[in-house]
Amino acid sequence: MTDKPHILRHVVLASPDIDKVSADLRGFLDLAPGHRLDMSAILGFRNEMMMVGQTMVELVQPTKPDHRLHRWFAEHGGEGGYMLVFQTFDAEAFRARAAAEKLRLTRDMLFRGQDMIQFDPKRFGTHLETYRYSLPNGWWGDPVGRAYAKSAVASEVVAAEVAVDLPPQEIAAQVGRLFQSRVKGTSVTFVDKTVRFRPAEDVKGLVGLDLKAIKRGDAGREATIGGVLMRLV
Amino acid sequence: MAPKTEDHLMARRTVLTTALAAGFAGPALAAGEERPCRVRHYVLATHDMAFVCEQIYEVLGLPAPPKKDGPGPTEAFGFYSTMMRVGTTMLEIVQPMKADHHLSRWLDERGGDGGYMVVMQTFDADKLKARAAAANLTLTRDMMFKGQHMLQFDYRHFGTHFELYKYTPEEDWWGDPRGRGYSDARVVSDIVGGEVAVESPQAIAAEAASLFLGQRDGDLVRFGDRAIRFVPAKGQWRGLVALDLKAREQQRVGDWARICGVQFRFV
Repeated sequence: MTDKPHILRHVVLASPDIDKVSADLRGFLDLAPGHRLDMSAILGFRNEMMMVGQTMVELVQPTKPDHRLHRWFAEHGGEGGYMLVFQTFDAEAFRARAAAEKLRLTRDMLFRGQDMIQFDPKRFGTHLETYRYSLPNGWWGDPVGRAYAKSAVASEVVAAEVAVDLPPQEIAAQVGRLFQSRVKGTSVTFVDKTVRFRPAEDVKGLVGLDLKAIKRGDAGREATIGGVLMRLV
Repeated sequence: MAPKTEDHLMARRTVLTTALAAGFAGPALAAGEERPCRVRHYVLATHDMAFVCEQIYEVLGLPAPPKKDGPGPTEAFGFYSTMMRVGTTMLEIVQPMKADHHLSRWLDERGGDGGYMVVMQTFDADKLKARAAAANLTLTRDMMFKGQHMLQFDYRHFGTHFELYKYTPEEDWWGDPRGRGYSDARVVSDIVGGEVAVESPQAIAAEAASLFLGQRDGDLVRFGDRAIRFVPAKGQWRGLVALDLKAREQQRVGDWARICGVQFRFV
């Protein structure tokens, strides 16, 4: 058992064209290209990993016709925010809490040596995935071993907004119980980051990200990139 | 898992694809010698087939198998079924359509989704029946089904359902593994083993080895390049509890995924 709080480590955006999303995002954040990896042969997708502050921003694009992301695009109505990835420090305790909540897991596995738990996006609006990491350099994306460019515009991802079908307060409360995190109304705090839940209108899922502006004058600037509203705060 | 219909009908193929021939064909033995049984497919039972299939497709990197329009071939028998091929092994996911189906009763008895059956191929049903009789084992099925001789053993004894077929023709079996346009999995190349939890692993392993002509090594019984391990059921669910899958990437060895109450282990 551990008292270490859960941490939001990375956000994932899915698109049929990550080159375009990458260019738009890098333009908005004044950021050099991230690290690209083609995992077509085994996993059927390619990605680009960038870093904003201590948070990974991953762009994924399916490269095989059978990849589930194609079905997700069809359900979601195109590209958009796909997943929030957390770090847990006690996977078994986490599983016990999930079982107590009677939640079914869409992933319950050791993936490349990392203990992964994923929840059904039908419940939480978006994919919530958590890992008990044993990676030598932290978490996915190798934040320590790899050199990542720094954004000249934003210093950190500080909040995510998720549109849900179920009452946002109910979802926030359940996420708070699962992650043992502080809940205030429809928001759940993960150390220095917040996940806000709001009612879904036309689109559900991860619909917005708040990024801490480096220059005060940039606060308030926003752009929709990859189907996600990026706001400088 | 029986039944099967036109969609599952076996087509005689006289030319084996060389890449798959070793896995599909039975072992070559001296004249007169009975060939050991082969593990041909595993059946997992669930309340939500779509949910389970989606997980399997994703975790194994397996394209969904081809599906015909209209009712599935098993729906006349009260259950939904999805057949997939993993290397040279079939994997079938079944879901009962009604609460009074025997699969529903099994799911209730087990307390949730789980591994339901190991389907094997026998090359001499009469000799297998004779061995079963000599061991005082009761067959829960002994019948011709869609032209195939089916024998089934009591899962209360063996932990899981062991169902055996004397297939005719013998080089094809349920699911039409070579004729149906299945795709290969990207992450794993085959299912090379299963694990069955029982109260007396050593005794059941000895019995299974004797009945099905496997090679026993403690609680492990080998059937050619496949193996079934019997493990104690204490403190865990009984029955087919794990599958061993050959990972294509060395770095995935040791990974696992829990799907449908079964641990998929990458070896």
